[in-house]
Amino acid sequence: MKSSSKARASSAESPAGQVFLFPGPEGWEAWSRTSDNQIQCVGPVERPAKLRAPPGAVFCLPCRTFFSVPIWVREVEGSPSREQVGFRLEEKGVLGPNPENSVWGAESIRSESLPAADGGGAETRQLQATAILLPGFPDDWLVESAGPHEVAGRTLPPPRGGSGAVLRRELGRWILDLYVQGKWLHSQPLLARNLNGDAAVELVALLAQLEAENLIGDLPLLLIRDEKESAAENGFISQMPFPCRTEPRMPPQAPVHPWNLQPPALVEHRQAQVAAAKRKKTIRFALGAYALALLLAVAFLFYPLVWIQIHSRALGEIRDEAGRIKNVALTWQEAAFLLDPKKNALELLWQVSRPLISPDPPTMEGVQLTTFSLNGRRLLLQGKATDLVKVQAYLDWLKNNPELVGLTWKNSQPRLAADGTATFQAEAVLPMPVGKEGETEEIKDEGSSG
Amino acid sequence: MKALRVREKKLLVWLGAAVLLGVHLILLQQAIRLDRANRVRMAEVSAELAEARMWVEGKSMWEARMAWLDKNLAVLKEEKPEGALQKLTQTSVSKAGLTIEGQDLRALRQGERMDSVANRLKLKGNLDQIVRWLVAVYDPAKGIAVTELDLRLGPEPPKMNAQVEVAQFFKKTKP
Repeated sequence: MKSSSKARASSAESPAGQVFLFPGPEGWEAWSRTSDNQIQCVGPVERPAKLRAPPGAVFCLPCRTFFSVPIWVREVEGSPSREQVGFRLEEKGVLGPNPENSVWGAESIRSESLPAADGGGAETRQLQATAILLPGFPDDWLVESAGPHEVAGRTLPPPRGGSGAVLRRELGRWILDLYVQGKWLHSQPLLARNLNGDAAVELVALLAQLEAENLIGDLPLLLIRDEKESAAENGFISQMPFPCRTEPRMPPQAPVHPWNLQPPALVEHRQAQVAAAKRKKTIRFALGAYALALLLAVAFLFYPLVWIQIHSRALGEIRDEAGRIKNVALTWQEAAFLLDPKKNALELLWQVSRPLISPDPPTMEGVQLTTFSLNGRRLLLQGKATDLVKVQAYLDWLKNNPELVGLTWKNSQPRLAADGTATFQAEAVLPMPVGKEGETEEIKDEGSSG
Repeated sequence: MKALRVREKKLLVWLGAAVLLGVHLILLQQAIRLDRANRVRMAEVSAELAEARMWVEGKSMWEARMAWLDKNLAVLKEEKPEGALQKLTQTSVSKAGLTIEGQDLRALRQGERMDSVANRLKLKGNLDQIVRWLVAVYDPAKGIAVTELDLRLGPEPPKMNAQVEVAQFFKKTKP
């Protein structure tokens, strides 16, 4: 046997191979191998979940969770042995009221021939080791991350030679495991709490019964696997009618033919956990979406504040200078008559008269201005021409003269006199050097009414 | 304490949800109100900033103009400057050969940034005389400009009737 060490869950090394959650003498243990191939036993603890086993750990079922029934079944050609075992167990009524849903495992131990019946051929029967999971698996023992669930006795090595009985303590009770030809056959808890005379009597009676049922032959050896030497002290061994000796506990190992008797409660528990996880995920998603929406709302609300803060700072840097320049512009507006060509009477008089008196542009013959009226807001021109075409030419020139750009011209329909001459009137709103839109509108209104 | 039934628990959840919804609606209303005010303020700051930037961009032009105004415009020193303007206009009108049919001397007008006095004249003469007089009287270096001009062809062409307002601008003394 490899050397083994006991450790607390907190100080245990991380397991390198498969982990076994085993019902030990005092409580639940986790057996595993370390990276340097040492056997490690963590525990005991009250509940297997406390051992924090990695996913896929083998859960060794204690005796109180299953019903062990070694049975003989006839071999029927064309019918699988499991089917026959199922019928037999149902006959015995150990599969409960709903046999289809019961969880059980079986393994063939040995075969023997039966005497031929009258007129019939030779028949054989098989000894089957079976275990039926009992209903009401304790919730405390459910480990969601656990993998295969195996009968504890099947995970332990048989005595040397392959056959014999093993006495071991399991969660405070003595259990008798029977092995035949290297296979687990049966596990039976003893009523006796201590290995004393009563226990010896109970054990001998039990073995005699099993022998009578032809389940076991002569018992070659009884092994007591325990950490304590209590059996020898109480004279238990000396009362046994067959060879008996003690040996240290053995580490569990995976059975050759796994049964995996998963309790239905575990499946339900896992489904409930999946549903809870899904619900939790949905709630988390909803909370996340809510938090995101809140975050976006806060960002949306804070964006103008940040924007105002940044631009107010930029504005603060140039506000004084801009105010001073604006003041200059307004001063200039008040003095516009002095310098602004668009408000200068002489300049405007020259520009509107230019085509009538100057060769550049070519002089418009037959057009005469009779009125030039300028105030600070508008310019009114009245005149007459020999015909309408000349009036239109003059008005077009006024509107297209680049020197008069900025003046908004409007003119009423020229009037045609009886002698063919035409009179006209054109009015222009003077531009405002400094933008005061309300003021400009006011001027326009006044100009149109005049 | 008596444990709640499933129906009571459901009702409690619905009540909680309703309260929560109400709180959210109130918060949403407040948030919308706050956001609206912020957006208005944002637009104001944006417009203010755009205007300020516009002024700063034209800084060199406006400073040159201010320099011209500082250099050429006089500060009002005389108690009654309109008298000097009247004298100046009358002299120039006489020199140009125009006839004064009437005049109206305007009192000192105090603007926001400049002060001005004006003399409104009714003149008669031909166009050439009027134009020459306008050229003579217009003197930006002294702050004198024609602010109104109403020129009409008279009943006896080429005689013209003119109504002219000549104004003199003064720099306002800083308070």
